[in-house]
Amino acid sequence: MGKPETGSISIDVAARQAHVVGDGPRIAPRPNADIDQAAFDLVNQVRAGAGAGPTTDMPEYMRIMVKHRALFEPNMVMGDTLYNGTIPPRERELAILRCGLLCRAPFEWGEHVRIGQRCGLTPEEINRVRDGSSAPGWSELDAAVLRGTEELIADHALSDATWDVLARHWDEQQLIEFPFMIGQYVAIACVQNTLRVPLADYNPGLSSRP
Amino acid sequence: MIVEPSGDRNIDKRMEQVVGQGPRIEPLDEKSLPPEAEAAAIEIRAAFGLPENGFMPESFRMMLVHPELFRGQMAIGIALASSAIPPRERELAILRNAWICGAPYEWGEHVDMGKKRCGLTTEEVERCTQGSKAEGWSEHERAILKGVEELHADYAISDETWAILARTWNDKQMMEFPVLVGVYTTTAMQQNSVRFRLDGTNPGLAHR
Repeated sequence: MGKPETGSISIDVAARQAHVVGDGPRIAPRPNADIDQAAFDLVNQVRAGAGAGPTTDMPEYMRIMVKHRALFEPNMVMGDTLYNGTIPPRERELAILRCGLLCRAPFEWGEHVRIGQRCGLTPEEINRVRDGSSAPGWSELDAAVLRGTEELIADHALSDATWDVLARHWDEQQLIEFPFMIGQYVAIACVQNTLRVPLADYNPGLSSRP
Repeated sequence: MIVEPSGDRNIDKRMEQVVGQGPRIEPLDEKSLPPEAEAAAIEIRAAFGLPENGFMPESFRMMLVHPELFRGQMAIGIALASSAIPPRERELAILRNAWICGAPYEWGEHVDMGKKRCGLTTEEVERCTQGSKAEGWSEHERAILKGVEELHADYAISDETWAILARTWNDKQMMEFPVLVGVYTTTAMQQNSVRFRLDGTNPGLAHR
């Protein structure tokens, strides 16, 4: 098992994006016109949780996933559950940003640079996520959220030291939600990287900055 | 890219770390379960073809601390129980994933599931600890194991592995594969972090 990556990591952005975005997607999205209203309703519910308005042009990622309806529905419901979960939005976004970076996930990182700002992260904090939990300037809780993300990705478990800090700030619902939430965003990164989901026009991927 | 070797994992040390003295969170008391608990348990037992014996595992009582999350998790679990990927291949992927995640609860549960319900042999289970480099897999099975290893090492699947899988699997199965690995990685992270106690008959990572 690898050691947690707690500092800044070097990514060859062009090479990584050629590999996980490339000239994708590997599976063609379904056209908007062939998608039913119930699927749009689910997507719009998730978007609302992220602070985005309803759309009639479904993002390609979801237009791909909707082709596996039995998985699409519970995954959208889970997305909505986590956006309205027990972990406060600012801490949630801090964790997701670190996760997107450690998974070298252009789609996830770029999208959450935008969403994080809506949830109260400052541009300076979002840039500091690149330097990990070991960077100076984090509060005790912020550092534990980042460190926990790093531990879960490297070791699939949380250390006593990190658990103890989180447990001083959070209740049991938040503690059980945290490792689950990280897993879910690792999963999303894996799916988006694997399917080579195209980036939105506004999303330059791993080079995104606030 | 490093592909996890991990046949040589130190089982005792890992079990001490992620099961240890038992849960970091108190499971709900059997006498004070929320009303949705029983309904959820019945639904799950039906989805996985388990006997309807009223058994409410401690793991459920732990996850029910957060009923909203539990409901969502169960919905995904139920969807994957009737996966587009054939059961035997699904269980190979889950076992390789559980081994790489060092997840005693998931590993032990799926050794049983794989052998009793999906036709895996003890020898194949043992081979899942060695992964894609072991002798004896078909080309397609090897690509399944390799895909799991790549998702853990690189958070993506290579062109080579994708091409082999796509010779056998349709689009729906190809989409399902990284979702499946992600879901079981999520479960492993939760179980290991909360230190789920192993159910009576589950020996954890030593199970074959």
